[in-house]
Amino acid sequence: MSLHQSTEEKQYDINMMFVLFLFAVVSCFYIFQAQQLEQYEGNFMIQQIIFFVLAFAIMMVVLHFDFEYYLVLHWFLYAFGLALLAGLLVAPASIAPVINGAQSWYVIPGLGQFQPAEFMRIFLILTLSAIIYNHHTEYSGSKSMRSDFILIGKMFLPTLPVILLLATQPDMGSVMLVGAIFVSLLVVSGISYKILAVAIGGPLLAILGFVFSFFQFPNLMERFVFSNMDPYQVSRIQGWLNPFENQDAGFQTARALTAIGSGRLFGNDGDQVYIPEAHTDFIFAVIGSVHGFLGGAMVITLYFVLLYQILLISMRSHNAYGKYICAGVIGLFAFQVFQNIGQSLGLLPVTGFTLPLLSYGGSSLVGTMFILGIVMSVRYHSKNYFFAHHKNQ
Amino acid sequence: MASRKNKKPSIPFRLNVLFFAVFILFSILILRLGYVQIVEGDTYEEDVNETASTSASRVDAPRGIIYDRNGTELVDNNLILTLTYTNQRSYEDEERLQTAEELAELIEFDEEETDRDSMPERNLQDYWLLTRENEAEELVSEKEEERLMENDKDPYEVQLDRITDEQLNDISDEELEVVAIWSEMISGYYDSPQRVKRDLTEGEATAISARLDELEGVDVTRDFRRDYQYTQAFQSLYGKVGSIPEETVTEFLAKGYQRSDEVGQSFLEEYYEDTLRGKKGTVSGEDDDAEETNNGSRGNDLVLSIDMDLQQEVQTILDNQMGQSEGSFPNDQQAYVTAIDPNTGEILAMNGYDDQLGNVTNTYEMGSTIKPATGMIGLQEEVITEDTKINDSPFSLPNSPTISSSHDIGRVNVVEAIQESSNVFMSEIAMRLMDYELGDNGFNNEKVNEAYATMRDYYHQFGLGVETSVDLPSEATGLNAGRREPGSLLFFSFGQLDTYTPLQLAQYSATIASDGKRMEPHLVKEIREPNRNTDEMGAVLHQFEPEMLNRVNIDKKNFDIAQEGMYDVVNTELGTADSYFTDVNMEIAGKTGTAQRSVRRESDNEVIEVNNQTFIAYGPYEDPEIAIAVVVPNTYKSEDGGRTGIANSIAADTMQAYVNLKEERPGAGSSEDEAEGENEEDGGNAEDSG
Repeated sequence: MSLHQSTEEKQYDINMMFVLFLFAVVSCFYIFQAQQLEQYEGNFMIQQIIFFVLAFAIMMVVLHFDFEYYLVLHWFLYAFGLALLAGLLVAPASIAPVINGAQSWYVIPGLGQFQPAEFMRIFLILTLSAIIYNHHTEYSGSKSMRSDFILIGKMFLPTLPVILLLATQPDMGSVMLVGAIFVSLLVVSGISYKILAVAIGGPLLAILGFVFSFFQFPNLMERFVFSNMDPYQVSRIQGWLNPFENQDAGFQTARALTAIGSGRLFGNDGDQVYIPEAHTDFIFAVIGSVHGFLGGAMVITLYFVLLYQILLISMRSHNAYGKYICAGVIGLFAFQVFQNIGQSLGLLPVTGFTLPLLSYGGSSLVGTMFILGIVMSVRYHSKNYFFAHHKNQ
Repeated sequence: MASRKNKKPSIPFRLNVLFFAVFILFSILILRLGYVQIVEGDTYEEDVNETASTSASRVDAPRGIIYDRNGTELVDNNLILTLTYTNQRSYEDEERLQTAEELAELIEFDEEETDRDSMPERNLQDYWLLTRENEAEELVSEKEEERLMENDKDPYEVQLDRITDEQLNDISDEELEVVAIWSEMISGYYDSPQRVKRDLTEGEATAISARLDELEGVDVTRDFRRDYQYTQAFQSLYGKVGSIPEETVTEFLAKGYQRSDEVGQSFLEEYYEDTLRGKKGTVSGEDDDAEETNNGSRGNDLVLSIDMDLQQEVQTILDNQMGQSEGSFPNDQQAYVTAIDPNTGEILAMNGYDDQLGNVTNTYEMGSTIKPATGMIGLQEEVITEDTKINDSPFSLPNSPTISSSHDIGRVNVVEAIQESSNVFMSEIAMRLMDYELGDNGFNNEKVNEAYATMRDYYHQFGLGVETSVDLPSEATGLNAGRREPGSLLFFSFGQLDTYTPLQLAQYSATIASDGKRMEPHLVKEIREPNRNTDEMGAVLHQFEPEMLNRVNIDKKNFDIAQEGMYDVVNTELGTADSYFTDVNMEIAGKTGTAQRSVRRESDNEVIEVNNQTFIAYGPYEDPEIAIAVVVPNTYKSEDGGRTGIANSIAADTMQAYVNLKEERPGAGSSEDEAEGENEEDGGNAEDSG
């Protein structure tokens, strides 16, 4: 195998586009179902169709932009995103209002509103991937514990200000999301498994320990942990782990669980359950209620298929930068899906993420399709070495 | 790019590790989904079916009945027939309009609702746009419409703006009824029945029923209307029942209500919504229990602590007294009376002229009625003793208004200071609390702060300036003026700084009567199960036991001293209210109060000086059964032609009314509290000493 054997494949990923089309259909269908609920008056489905068309168009544009340019551009993008985030701190309330207790949105009159965190995620994936890529170019062949720590440090530096800015909003959901991106890139970055085990196992054990103590030693938790936390955080946690006994904080979770549970295997026939924010954050509750386990499992599988396709693109790409980007995207999506469906199922606390590609909303849809555009660009612009991927497996 | 080769073998493997983690996460989701839907699904489905079966019903079950403490029925339900309309998305505008037109021929609307001037203009405008299509189109040209859409403006709104009054007058008087019906029909939510007209006559009901097939969405259902008795004396405290307020819809839906349900919107109806609400019946008829299929069951009944006889008497007293003092008020005439059983906290009467709510929602400076508390504070904090004598003559602090009593009283001790209402004596207590003597240069700032805090803390213990915990929503707590300049503390000591509600004053009065036990006041004594036999009350479901909120941190001996002062107010020649109570057949202790303030006269917008007249009293002196507070706010000063002693007279009459009622009722003073409800024949007696 030699380098000049490479050809530019220039192929659209038709399979993935088909999956995205399926998502569009599923999304519009369930949003239509959601607006049959008592509390809705407007027609969101039509809006969502328009959003999808727009988002597809944006994806097509992004797709044609060679991802390797991001190796040069990523610092500008990162700086731009960070400036937008920092801008929320100083922006007047007229363009950065407090919504649901957090200052996370810009509202531009006439244009609508957008969440800089949505874009910061993308830029962060591009930047961290570039850092890993450059690091390995620099330290090629001389891999050691020391170089691993240097890499972690280099990755951590740009992540920290993002986390701090998001935490001041406060938007703990996005903080966790950034954490998920960071961890998934850490996994593929090539650092020693020993470090990896500590970096991931530690927090994981802490969370499991917390949940375990919540149920086993409620008194101790009350005395030493909850008394030191903000009341709203405590109520979120109570609502998550004990939704039916904390009807105020666990209200959404309890309603979603009831809706999903009543769906049984094939969906319930027509009995409406009131679900708050059914067309956005809790669209999965509608799916589970209308089409039961069958519908819910199908949708989860569909996400799995999408993630698998991203994995394939990553595997087949011969540009390590492209691989890293795809890995970051996998981490991002997997976490978002897990978090959103998990909150509907009472597995995780409610954070206010949308379910990517299915929830109603232009900002989130455009953001998602933008990322998928980059992923497709990895595929489209990868200089392919034939047979290469067979060798790797 | 040579390095790529080195890395290549590891990346795909690590990607697989990452993807394996994703696989695990998604498996957890599917497992959890299966658990929720398949294993636990039964329970959730039952939950939903329960709500669903009630949603098949069309009518509210009747709400609980409300009785007074003697078993007199105060609120009942009347069975009525109601015309409902269930709007649906699929209906065309024209269909709805046609239905409205047909209904207009079948039913008669109140004149008030079909009156052109009282009808919301928007309803007329909407109707006009719907029925005069051609003219409506002329209002906004197509081109303009496009331009408006581009600018994100609603052409419909612009159309509404442009309808002239002349064009609106084009709607004939006959059409007005259609407009009224049509606006009612579309004002509800889709798919849930909206009440269009309540209380149909029999003729209307038959006429509509005969044509139900043609009238889409229309139905005639059984409904209940609250029937309030004694509305003159008690109306506002019952509260209101009506459709669910928009801002609380979510909350009620979560509790299993439907949008078309009626709920308690204010006061007792709101506070006891969960108790009073009926259990819905089903119309579908699938239920086994025949009783349930028809009606559901009535909500639980409330037994109030209010004695409606006393309540009515007091209302009459208020009407009389207000009638006698018509010229005494620059603005609206107002007066409030609350009577509490100091042993249990039960509210025996809560009256207002001409609105009872002011007792819990309005706050006033209460003046000298606060002096017994101030005197006790002085004794308890040991800045004075029982024998301390102060010379009552006018004086003033630097940069403060002069302080004097109504006349110069001379040297008095604390009992006499209460008896003759000495402002100077109370000011002296305040000054000693902040460690200041007349002639001192400057104040000790720390001590001033401390004095403010100490006095407020004691007042709070009596219930002044804090929630009384009464069982009504929207209770006011009064204005806490905070720390002011030292001079204001002196005014604070005789009740001219913070403001309190009449109910707080009554709780304060009751707390003095019971030697410092601050009881939780309540209007509801018991919750009872509904009884189908309407002549008797059902079994007691819950009894509200007397609950002490706190005990005032003042020694019994100091209470005795203050009580002696209050006794002298009413029963000695020098007392400020001596002449008022001579005819009352009960030993009473009391305290007068007059707070001076300025208020804007509404008739000419001039700011004038007025008095808040207040009075607290309890009796019998040795073993109190009733404690009252009277507040008559904003009366003219006597030099401006205001009548003095209105509050004192109301208090005296109220006490006498209480005594009379007690004598009329056989078995007075002997029966147990619990026995009352069951023994309606002997009238029961709430006011026994317990």
